[in-house]
Amino acid sequence: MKLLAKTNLYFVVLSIPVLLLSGFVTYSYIIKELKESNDDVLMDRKERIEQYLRENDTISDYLFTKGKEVQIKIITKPDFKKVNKDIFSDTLIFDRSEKELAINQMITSVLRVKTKYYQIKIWRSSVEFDELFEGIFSMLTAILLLQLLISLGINFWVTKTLWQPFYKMIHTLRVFRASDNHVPNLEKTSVKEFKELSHCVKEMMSKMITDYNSQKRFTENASHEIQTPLAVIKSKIDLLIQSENLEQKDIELIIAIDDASSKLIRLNKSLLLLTKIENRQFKTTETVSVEKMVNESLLLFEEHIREQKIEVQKNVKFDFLIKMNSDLCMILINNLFQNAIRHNITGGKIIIFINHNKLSIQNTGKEEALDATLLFKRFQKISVSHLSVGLGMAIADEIAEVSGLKLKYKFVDHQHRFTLKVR
Amino acid sequence: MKILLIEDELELQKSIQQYFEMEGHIVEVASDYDRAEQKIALYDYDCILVDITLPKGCGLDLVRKTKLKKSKAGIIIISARDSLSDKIYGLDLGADDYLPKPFHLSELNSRIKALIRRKDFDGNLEITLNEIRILPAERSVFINGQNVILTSKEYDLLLYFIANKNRVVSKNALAEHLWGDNADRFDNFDFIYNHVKNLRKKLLENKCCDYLQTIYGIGYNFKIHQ
Repeated sequence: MKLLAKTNLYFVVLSIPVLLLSGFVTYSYIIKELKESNDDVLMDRKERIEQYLRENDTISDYLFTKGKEVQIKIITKPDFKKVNKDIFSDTLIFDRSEKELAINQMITSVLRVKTKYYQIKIWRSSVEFDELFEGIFSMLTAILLLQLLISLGINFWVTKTLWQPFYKMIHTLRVFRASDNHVPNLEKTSVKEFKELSHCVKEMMSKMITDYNSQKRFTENASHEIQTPLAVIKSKIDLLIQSENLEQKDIELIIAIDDASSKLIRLNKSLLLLTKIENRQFKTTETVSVEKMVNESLLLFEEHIREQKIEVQKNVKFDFLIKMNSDLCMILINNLFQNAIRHNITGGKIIIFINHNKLSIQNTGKEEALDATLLFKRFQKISVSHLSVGLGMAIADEIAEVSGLKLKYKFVDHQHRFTLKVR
Repeated sequence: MKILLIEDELELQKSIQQYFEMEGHIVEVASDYDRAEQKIALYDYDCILVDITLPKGCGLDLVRKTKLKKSKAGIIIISARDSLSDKIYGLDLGADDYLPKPFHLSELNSRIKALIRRKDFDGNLEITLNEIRILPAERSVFINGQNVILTSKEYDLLLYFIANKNRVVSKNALAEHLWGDNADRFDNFDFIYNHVKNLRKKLLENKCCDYLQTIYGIGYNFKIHQ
């Protein structure tokens, strides 16, 4: 959820109790005020009636009380306690227009004029509480909705304008590669926090580029330093075997040295390759056809396949096209095939399946599942082979990783299956 | 043939010099940038082997200088920096080939021979060795005038043997030549043995002398009697 959306959500959620509380306060206050004003009106009327009664002004009395909610009664046995006292009360009176009982406020008073006692009752319909309640509730709901709308609007506007530098920065960071060797321009902004962020990000990127370059230089220097003595050893072996009178035991020594140095060369090359892949020194520039790569790889290993009498089944539904570095793709697929051939049995099978989004290579071999957690680790040899340096699958996995692919192992139908999929 | 070898690692320099002098070539050496620059300015060579990382300078600048001089020398970059950008840059500057270290001397030899062939004869030359005649442009082989059909690997092997005639070529060198970096985790020696066996059989069937000697455990020698 976006930061702004979340802020707004909190805001809206928190404003609900505030609105409820303010609604309640408003409601009570309005009710109180209305009651008071009603009471004032009733008092006022009562006083007038009393005055008319005292003056025995029947005409005014009649005019004033006609059609009004007033009842005047002469009582014979008054309760003397109540004389000259006003009693306010709420009462239910049938309302003809609404055809229901409605709450009315009433003032009851007993007045003595000479010897007569009058009981005066004046009432007035009070405000409909439930209507008032409904009114306030719908008003508050309207405010809430309006607030939501306004916050959405603000959200949209702020995202469009205020947060724009932030989103652009995220995009820049996402596409940033230290190997591109240049610090991208970040949009200028007047917001202080963004300014600071942009400054820090820029500093971090240039630091990354410096680190990357020194690491790259180190890798290259290490490669140079190791390859050169190896080149010397190799050239000396080449010269040594030219000699005419080598004895059998010398030859055996030379072969052992040659094999060991060859292995060392391969190991160094593999490690360099891994470092280069990790450093993302290979650029993705093209779309690679997996089917074509598989065919090339099969051609490369045709002798090895024929030698082991391996039956190759190829099922291609659609070509699998990947956007990745073609050299790396070739290495990846070659490593998978090497693995499938080397750990196969004589007369075994290799089943290739290519679909528009995956490649799987399945081979016969040892009748037990391999440990998938160790399989892609470096120097984890699956077999005891003097030729293997134990980096083939680690390299394949690393290539998949940097190319947006996923390499998975599964033991199915007594066969080993490696699947390459788009992540 | 006159070769200039620009290489700062003295032992490697000695090995290369020794290997090519055995073939009767003249090999001059330079161990740093200044010496190399001087030699390039003063003399003409058929082939220049140049390392990229040199004391006092960069081998790629030497490639540029050689090209500026409009020298006809073939240039092969030999570098421990097996980086694609160096390779592309080097070839762009006008180098003819790029051979990453470490390499087999026989591989370097075959690259030099191929380069000289391309330079001097635009690749249209035929290679003749006694009764063997090869047309590299068509990849065809004739023995005593008779066309012999070879597989692609057998042809590569024959050319490699002829480039390194009278030299012992190791099985490791052959494997690297045929499969490159790709198949080096296999035991390829049986395949090499089979290819060589088939090649020899085809040569003998066409009444070719048996030049191929097996050096037990090590490799082969394509021996031309002098």
